[in-house]
Amino acid sequence: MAVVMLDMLGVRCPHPVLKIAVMAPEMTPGDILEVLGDCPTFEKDVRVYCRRMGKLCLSVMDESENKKRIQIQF
Amino acid sequence: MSKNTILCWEVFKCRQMDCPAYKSKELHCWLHSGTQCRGEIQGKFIEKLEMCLGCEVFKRNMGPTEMGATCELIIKQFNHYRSDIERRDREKAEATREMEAGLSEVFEALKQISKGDPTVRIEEDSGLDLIRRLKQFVNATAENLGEIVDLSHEFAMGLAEHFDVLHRVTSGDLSARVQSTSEVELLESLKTVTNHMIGSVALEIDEKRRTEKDLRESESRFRMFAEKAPMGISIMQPDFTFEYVNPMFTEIFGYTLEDIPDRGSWWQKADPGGKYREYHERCWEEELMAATPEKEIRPEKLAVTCGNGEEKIINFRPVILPDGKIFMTYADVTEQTRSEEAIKESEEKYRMLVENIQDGVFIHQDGIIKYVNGAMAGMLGYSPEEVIDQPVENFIAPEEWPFVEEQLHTEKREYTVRMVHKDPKISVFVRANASVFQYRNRMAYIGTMKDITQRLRGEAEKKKLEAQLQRSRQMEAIGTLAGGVAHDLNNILSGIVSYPELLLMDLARNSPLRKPLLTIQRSGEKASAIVQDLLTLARRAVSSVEVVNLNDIIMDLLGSPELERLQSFHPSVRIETELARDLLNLSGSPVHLSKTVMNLISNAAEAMPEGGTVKLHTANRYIDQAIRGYDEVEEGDYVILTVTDTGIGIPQEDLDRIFEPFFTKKVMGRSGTGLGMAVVWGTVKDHHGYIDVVSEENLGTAFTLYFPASREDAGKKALPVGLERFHGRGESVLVVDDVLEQREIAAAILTKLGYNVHTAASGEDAVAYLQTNKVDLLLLDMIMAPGMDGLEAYQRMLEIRPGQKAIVASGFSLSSRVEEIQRMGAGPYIKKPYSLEKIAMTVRSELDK
Repeated sequence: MAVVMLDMLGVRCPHPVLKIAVMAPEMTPGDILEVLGDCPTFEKDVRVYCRRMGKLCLSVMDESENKKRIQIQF
Repeated sequence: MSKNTILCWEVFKCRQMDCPAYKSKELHCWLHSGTQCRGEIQGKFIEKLEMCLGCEVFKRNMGPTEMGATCELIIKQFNHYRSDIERRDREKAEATREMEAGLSEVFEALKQISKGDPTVRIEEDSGLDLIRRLKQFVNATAENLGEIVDLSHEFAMGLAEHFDVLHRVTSGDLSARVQSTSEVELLESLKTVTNHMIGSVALEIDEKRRTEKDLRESESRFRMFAEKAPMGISIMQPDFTFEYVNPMFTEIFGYTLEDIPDRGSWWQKADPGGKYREYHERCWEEELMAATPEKEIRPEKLAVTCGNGEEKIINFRPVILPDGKIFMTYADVTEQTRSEEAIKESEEKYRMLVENIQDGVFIHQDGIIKYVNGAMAGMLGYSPEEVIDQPVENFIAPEEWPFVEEQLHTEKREYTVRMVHKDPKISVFVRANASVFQYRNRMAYIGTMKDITQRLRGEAEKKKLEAQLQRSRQMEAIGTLAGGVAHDLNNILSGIVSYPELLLMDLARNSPLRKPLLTIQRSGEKASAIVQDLLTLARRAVSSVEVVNLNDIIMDLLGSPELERLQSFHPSVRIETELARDLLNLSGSPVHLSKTVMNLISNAAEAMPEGGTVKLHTANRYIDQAIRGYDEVEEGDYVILTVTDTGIGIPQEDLDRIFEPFFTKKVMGRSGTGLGMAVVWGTVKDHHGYIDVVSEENLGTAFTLYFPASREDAGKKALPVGLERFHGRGESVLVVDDVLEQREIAAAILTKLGYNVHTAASGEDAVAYLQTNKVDLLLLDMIMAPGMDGLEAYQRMLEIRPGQKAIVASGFSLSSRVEEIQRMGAGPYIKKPYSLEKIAMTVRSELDK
């Protein structure tokens, strides 16, 4: 099980979700993708993505300056 | 109005009578509203003030009063302006504050929007229309942006899901499908297409997997089969390199895949002598190269050398696989081929035997001929093809078929049978021998047939020859007897025949002696003919042949003294004739034919002691099939003579003997010498005819004689020829004869004819005469005794007189002696007794040669 970091700060939605989708094939079941983003719809987009793709949204952590850290388990 | 007042309408000559200044006499125009000077600025206080203060009328009418009123007005107006400005300043300050607040709000909202947050909304109330509209614009923009963001998120989510699904598919999860629904039509269509595509791919992959599975199983089965196959198998690449050879290949040829990497290296070993290589490189491989899986390639049977040096015969059968590879099977047919060759050789041997054997070989089944050899078919005049598949019954004589059927059901199955030849006139007798055997799983008959027709005919011929020998011996006895008397009798008859002729030449036409002399002459001639018959019967030769009509002979006979004499013996016998009017002629001897008819009538009369009828019937008939008693007859027109009687008939046991000489049952001494029917038989035979006898005891007998017809006209009876043409011209003739009467008759005739005649009584005398004399012609008797005969004498005389002309005369002589003397140079043979006419013609003819 690996944890992969993805920095999406300054990247406007829906690019973070598209990037997560592109990285998904690289992930093996159980791997965690930790995405850092500051787009206003970032959290919402990631949650929708996880629901539709059947992925598990492990955690959403608010950080300073509207930044959020979200962990997705594949 | 003062006297200094200047009216503006008058100064400007204005005719605007509806202008307030025009109608007011006292009016100070410049401060009144509604005046029409420079209409465009009326109502605008500042501009009008500027215009009026510069106006000539104003200036000329200005006085203190007018100035005061003017200032008051201006002050009033300025006051008004000041309050107005104050109010405006207050309003402006208020608006500025509101604008600042509104703009700030709008700025913040735009700032949020610019960060990508489309959820921003601001209160749209504002005293300032601009701010309110700006807020409305910002809210609308945020709302629109939200929709766009939502749409882009929807697209992004859709793409992400499609990407994820496709990734799962490529990873082998063919169950992955795009699940989410979207209000975006394009995404829904994309979902449908994607899922359909995945379904198709899944289906294809399933199919492919199944195919691969089948292929693996098939390959597994093939390998198992190939490994255990009883024949050699190889697979070659299209470039003829070996990809696989099975164990049996190695067993047959002794080579593994390592030994023979390709076809070329194998053929070097398989065909070290290069016997087939060139052929293969040129022909068979061309065919292989051009072959397709659909096109069959002809197999080849070749002798190849194997690893151990052994030569084997292999049947090569190639197949082109869909991928272009060459699948080849190899069957070792060495033993089979050798067996086949042995069988073929054996079959060839037996076929040769059966085809060339002189006996017929047949197979028939269910009554149908299944096989015949050439000899069998040829026996019947057919080719084998014409006989095979025909019913057996067609080739068996109809009357024989029941017998054959019966024989086929016996144990022995050996029988003699008459078969039907293609030419129905030909009878074929065969000895058949049949056996039962299984032919194509059913009972059939196989057998041989030997043509015994010739043997039967030979046996019949032998019997006939034996009979002929018997008859010949009898004839010999007659001949000896007849020959012995014929010479003397003919010499005697010469006088009876020749002297009347000489006498008649000198007699007057009305002489009473003429008739008796003619009778003597005819009797002599008849007697001579009888002697000739005896000789003919003895020697079996027709001496004189001419075209005659049998009806004429019968008619001559009916009026003859002989028949009259016969009828005197049989007064109760009646003779009837039924003669064909158009009866064809025949070529024969009238004397013999007359004698034959006479003998048959005589025989018939003898057979009717109680009286009855003898019927003579003549007819023409075309004969094209066998006559009873004869196997074959010459096809053609025949003259038929049937002599029937109503007599006692001939017993069956005597029928075969009636033609034998001296066989007679007649009353001796009354008639019958035993030669009558022999003469009939001999005459018919000598005329190349046939004879058929049908007889029933107490009912009668019928003799039917068949004579080959002649299309020639019957010769008229010779008329007396003018002897002047044949008279001699003084030529010398030497008559050589040992009989005095003969010498005298000949000398008399020849002298009468004008020849210078000398005579000699023997051969020796003649030779002696020629020593000293020369003659133009010899008339030489053949039989002279004792001493030299005619032949010997002529030989001696030729030594003296080479080329000596001679004619030969004799009453009886062996034909071989006559032929010999004629070969030596002698001329014609003249039979004694000869007529004057005959000797005259013969002598003249020989001398004139």
